[in-house]
Amino acid sequence: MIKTINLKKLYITEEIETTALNNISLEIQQGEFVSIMGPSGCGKSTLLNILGMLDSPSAGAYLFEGEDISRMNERQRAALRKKNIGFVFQSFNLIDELTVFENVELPLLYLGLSPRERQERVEDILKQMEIIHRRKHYPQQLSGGQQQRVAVGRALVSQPKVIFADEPTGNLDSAHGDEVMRLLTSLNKKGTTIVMVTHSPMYAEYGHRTIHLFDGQMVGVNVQDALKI
Amino acid sequence: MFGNYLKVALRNLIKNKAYSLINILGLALGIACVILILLYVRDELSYDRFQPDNEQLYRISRSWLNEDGQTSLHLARVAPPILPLLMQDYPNIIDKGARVIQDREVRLKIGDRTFIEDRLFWAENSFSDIFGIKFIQGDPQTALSEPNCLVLTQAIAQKIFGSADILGKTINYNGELDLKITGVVQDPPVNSHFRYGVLGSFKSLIPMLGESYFRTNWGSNNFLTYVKLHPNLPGSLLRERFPEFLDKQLTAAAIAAGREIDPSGRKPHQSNLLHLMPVADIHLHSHLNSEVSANGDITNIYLFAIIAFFILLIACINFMNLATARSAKRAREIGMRKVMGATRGNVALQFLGESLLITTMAALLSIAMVEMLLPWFNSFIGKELRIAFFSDPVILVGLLLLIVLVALLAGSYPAFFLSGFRPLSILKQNTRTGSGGTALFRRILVVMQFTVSIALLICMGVVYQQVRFFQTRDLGFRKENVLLLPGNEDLAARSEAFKNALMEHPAVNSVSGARLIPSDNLLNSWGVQITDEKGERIRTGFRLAVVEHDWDYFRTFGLKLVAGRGYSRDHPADDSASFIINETAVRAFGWAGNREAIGKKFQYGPRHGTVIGVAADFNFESLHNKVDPIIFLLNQEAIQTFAVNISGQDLPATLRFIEDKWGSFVGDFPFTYTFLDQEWNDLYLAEIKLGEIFGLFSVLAVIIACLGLFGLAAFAAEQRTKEIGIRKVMGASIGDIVKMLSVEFLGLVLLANVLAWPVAWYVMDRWLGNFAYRISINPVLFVGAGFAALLIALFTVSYQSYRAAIANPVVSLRYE
Repeated sequence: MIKTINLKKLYITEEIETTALNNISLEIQQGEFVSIMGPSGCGKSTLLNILGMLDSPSAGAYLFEGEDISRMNERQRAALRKKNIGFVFQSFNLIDELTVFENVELPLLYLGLSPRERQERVEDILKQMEIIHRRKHYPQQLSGGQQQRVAVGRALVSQPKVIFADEPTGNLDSAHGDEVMRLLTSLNKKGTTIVMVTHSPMYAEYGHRTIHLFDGQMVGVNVQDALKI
Repeated sequence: MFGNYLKVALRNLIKNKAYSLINILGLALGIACVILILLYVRDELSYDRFQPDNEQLYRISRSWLNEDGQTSLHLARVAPPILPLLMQDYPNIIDKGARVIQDREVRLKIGDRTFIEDRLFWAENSFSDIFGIKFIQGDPQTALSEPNCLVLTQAIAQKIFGSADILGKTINYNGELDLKITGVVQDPPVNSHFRYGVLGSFKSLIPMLGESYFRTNWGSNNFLTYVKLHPNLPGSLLRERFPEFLDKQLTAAAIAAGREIDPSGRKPHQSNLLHLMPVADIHLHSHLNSEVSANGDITNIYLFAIIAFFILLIACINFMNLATARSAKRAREIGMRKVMGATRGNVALQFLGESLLITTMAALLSIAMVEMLLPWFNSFIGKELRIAFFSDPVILVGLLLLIVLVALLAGSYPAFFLSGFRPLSILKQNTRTGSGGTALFRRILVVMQFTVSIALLICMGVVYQQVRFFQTRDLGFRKENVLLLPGNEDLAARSEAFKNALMEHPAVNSVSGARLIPSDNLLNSWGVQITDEKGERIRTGFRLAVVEHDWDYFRTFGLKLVAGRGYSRDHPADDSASFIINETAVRAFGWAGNREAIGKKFQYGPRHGTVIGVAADFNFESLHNKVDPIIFLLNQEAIQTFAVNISGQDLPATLRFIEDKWGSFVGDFPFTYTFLDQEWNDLYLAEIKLGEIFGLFSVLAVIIACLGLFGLAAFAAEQRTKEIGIRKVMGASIGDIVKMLSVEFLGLVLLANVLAWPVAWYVMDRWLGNFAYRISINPVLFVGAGFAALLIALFTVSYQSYRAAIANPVVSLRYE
């Protein structure tokens, strides 16, 4: 499903050139749950953003379902992104001016769904996330865990093929963190591909394998449970 | 999707009330200003466009040239023979024409009631056809075709008779003639250069003035003369015939009168010219002497349009500034929308839509403002503008266009700027918007706002100082406590008795009757001929304007002589063979000095005389004009105004006494009076008005600019909350913080000063070029305006800075 060949990302400022990613070649199959780990500044998030088509590589190829993303312009990438990809962020990134329902509904608006279909799908997801009773509340009125459940719901509502999660538990206490991880695992069991960046070795183990990055290089892959693939 | 945009926009507006208020209020003020100004401009541009075929309708005017080719006088009215001769010579060009002459201070008597009418015009029959006058009563074809007919406007008919059903009734004119009412017409439109009250038939004048007057008098330039050309003929066709026409007809007239043709060999068209102006252009483009009414000025239209544009720009800049300054708050939303697949176009459209929403709200508010301000604005500009927002299609469409224009102008930059956010950088870090490029752009915008505001303030100051200069300058004559009474033939004939009667009161110092008084235009002049040593007669090459008056003129106005003597009853020949001229005239004659002028002989019009005195130069006309050569002639028969020099003590009693005497002399003529200083002030109404307009709009500009600055300062303080907290923990005092936050803005205002000064200086120096007597621009004004702007800005900014500075640092640090 996802294949990268010698991905490279350089950040160039006036004085220095920083290599954020160097020769990353990896492959992720449909239905896989992959964790990415590494110390701060090793390039985890950069990789995730490139895979999520929010950013483009400086060199190398990125094939998503066989299509070369690095040759697409922003408009094409945006179109591909909204159909196939959902995001979960560490800091939730819910829109303060929208209610829980409206936040989750937002991706469907960009997909151009009918109001009825939107209503059905949003309510469905909110039930799954067990947050339907809070549908009319604003993000500020929710706890951190509840906010992240809304954010996960928002990522899921467009029924993406893959979810990229950037430290989804980073702002949560352990109880809420566990809850989010159980949610992601159950989604994966239903067939959604998940790529997750995390600091926590414990949460990384929820994935089928863990990719370790150090200074922009892949330094190893742990396969937690080969049978899961 | 639209619903979602609207929801977000509205919730943002509600959440940030202060911000919304500043934005909407600023825009509404700007839009209201523009609506008012556009109403005014529209009205001014509409003048005289309602006549049928108005593009074929022209007015003829006449100018006179000095020997050097300079125009010495340009009158809006011409001599009576000109129109019939033109129509006779060029029947293929001129279709119709009409002459009209104004009669002022006419006594109209119905039964035992007398009305004074200032707007009686004797008009040829074709006048009503040419101007498309709409008759309510009477026959348009014939109403003015017979002698002694009168046509009243509806308003006058209502005033005099209380009804319009008055055909066939008679009105007595000045106790001389009985005139029959043959028509009642609609009032002339307000937007007409020519607003008549009563029209009399032209033929009534023939017995009064004599038939030959209309054929041969080329010197009585009192006739408003309009022509309508045949369809589709350009005015230039007639215009280019004028020189040959004048040469032919003036030569013929001179021969017929047995006068010699100009011995200097100048052709008639080299000493006077005819001009043709489209009637629709008169209101904004004609500023001649003897205009039928005070006209507007196209310069003011441009000026107003520019001011309207700038005020709107300032309001739009507020919007842009606040929207981009607030961008940090919207950044996450924009990032998420992009992550979810929104393109840059989607986001830009969303923000343009928000701008449209805010502009629409502002426009609705501005409608309320305009409704509230219109009566006041009307009294300010002296018009009766009305506005029907929803029934007048022009206004409705105009308003919608204005909304779209403002929404685009104000919203395009924020939309462009915000939609360019990279979702990544927003969502990962806490983006510090307001740094780098945008902050620079915002600074430029603030500088622009204050440049405009300061320039307007300076203009206001310069205009005000020039007006003060007009009002306080020593004019060389006494203008305080001089009472002016209208004269008439009857009173002029008994002027000495009337004057003696007034002099009985101890508060009356002196009384004089005259044709012209200081503040009048010097329109009259006759030809000058000097006989040189060899006995040859030489015509002078300059215009010597004449002021005719009685014995006591110099005393009444406190005029001074610099050589010779004044007119005196001890010299009976003074009223037939003596001249007094002013110093400028002495120079124009080329005489060595004022003393040398005494005893010089020349012929002025029909009068042969000797110079007996030289009057000190003084400003007879308004200070727009230089002092012209003037000759003062004693002529007791030419009295049109009485000037009464009074002590000013117990004014009511003096006025009662004068009214009493007035009544005993003229009976039914109502007692009206003005004061000379008031007449003099009225000469500068245009400048006073201009000063007020600058004042009004500069204050508005400053208010709107400060609204923006206030908002911007609030956001600057908010963005630096953490920095302020840390600085305070490190020991910064409140004063330090206020200084830190305020200094940046003050720098911008200082820069705006540097930009505004040369612009204002240039514009005002050109404006002052209009006046023969002008102030030199005072640098203190520039410093003052700059300082005022700085002070206002400081006050605006420091409030926000102070609020930020007194906040508890612990709170602000925990906040991040």
